[in-house]
Amino acid sequence: MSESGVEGGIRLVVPATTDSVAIARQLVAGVGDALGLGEFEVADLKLITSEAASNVVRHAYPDDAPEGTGERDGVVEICVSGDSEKISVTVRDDGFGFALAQPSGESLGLGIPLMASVAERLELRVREGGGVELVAEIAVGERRRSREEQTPEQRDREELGEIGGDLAQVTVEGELALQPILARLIGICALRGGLTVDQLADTLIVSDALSAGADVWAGEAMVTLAEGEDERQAALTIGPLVEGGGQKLIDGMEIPGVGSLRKLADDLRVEVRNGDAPGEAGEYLTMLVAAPSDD
Amino acid sequence: MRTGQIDVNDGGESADVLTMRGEHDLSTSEELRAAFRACFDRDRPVVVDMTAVDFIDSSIVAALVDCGKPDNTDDPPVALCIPPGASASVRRVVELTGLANYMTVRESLDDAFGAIAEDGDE
Repeated sequence: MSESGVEGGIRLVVPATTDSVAIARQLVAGVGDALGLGEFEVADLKLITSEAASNVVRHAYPDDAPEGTGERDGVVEICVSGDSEKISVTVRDDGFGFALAQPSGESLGLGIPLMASVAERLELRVREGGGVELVAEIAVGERRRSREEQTPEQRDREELGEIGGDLAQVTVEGELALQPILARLIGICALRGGLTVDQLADTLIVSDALSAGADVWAGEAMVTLAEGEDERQAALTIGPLVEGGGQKLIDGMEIPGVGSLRKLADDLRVEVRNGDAPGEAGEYLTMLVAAPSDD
Repeated sequence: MRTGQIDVNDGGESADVLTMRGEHDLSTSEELRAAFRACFDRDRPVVVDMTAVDFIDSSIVAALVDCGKPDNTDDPPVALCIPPGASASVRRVVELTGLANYMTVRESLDDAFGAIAEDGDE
């Protein structure tokens, strides 16, 4: 790892076209190589940049964007900064944003969960005046120290994403963005649970139900996807919620004429946490989805 | 800017081979879907050789799942070949998305062709 950093940041502004995705990816790969990052850190930077820039290309500047929601022909801005401890990638647009977009067949909505899986921190903000800003952080220093303590076998498994703590954690600022992000995380929860692609459609209904009540949130919405009690389970946790917010969301999963959406989950739990940081205390709702048995 | 290449080769009696090389993203995902459709139009099973792929993102995962999921009963079978020596970046995306839950993934071309043959015997 080079001692030199890119604290001032490197900034790239390119047209929001498919061609620009590879250009953005090569830029961050070049920065990563220049900083002497490892193969997996560079790969993660490239994946985050590719997914975020693709989101902008797909969703930020639709031809049919309503008046006043952003430019119709726009740009994507990519900034990379960091040092020997952490690298940040910021991708922003000033368009319509993907906040109102639903996961599409083009990506199955996997982009955000993938980014959240490989980044130590992922934040999405709806920008004032239009557009979305995504900030992803990779803790290169922590990873380096952790690798030094691992056996080669542990290192290989963790780098491939087979073990480790949370699979994905996203902090959402601005309630507009919550539903599509929840939909994507629930989608990957279902994917890891071995549900079929068609069953993914059900998960969209769940995400609608969970994101419907803006009055249940006690702070910035935090969505975490982790392995459950065993590796066959995926656990999606949302919070912090106000007192009674968890039960209110569960009650909201009763849809007249459809029945309870609770049957899509193997278990739903509400717990109260004090939180590690200010603003994290409150109720948390966890949904467990298990892979079907091979028997 | 295309950073990836897709070639369609006749793999003999059992399947066509889509050989992917380089980096694949939104700019090649439509080409990948079109290559699948061309094989399916000729009623040919497909083996996708990803040995020389350096990078994929979710647009490629979505194209593979859409074209290769087993419940597409009208389409011929599809198998992916991702050897242990394939790009770590590709294997990581495959692992994180649970791609193997959706389609047949094997570690060698022989095994991928074998899976296609087994599928045809059923």
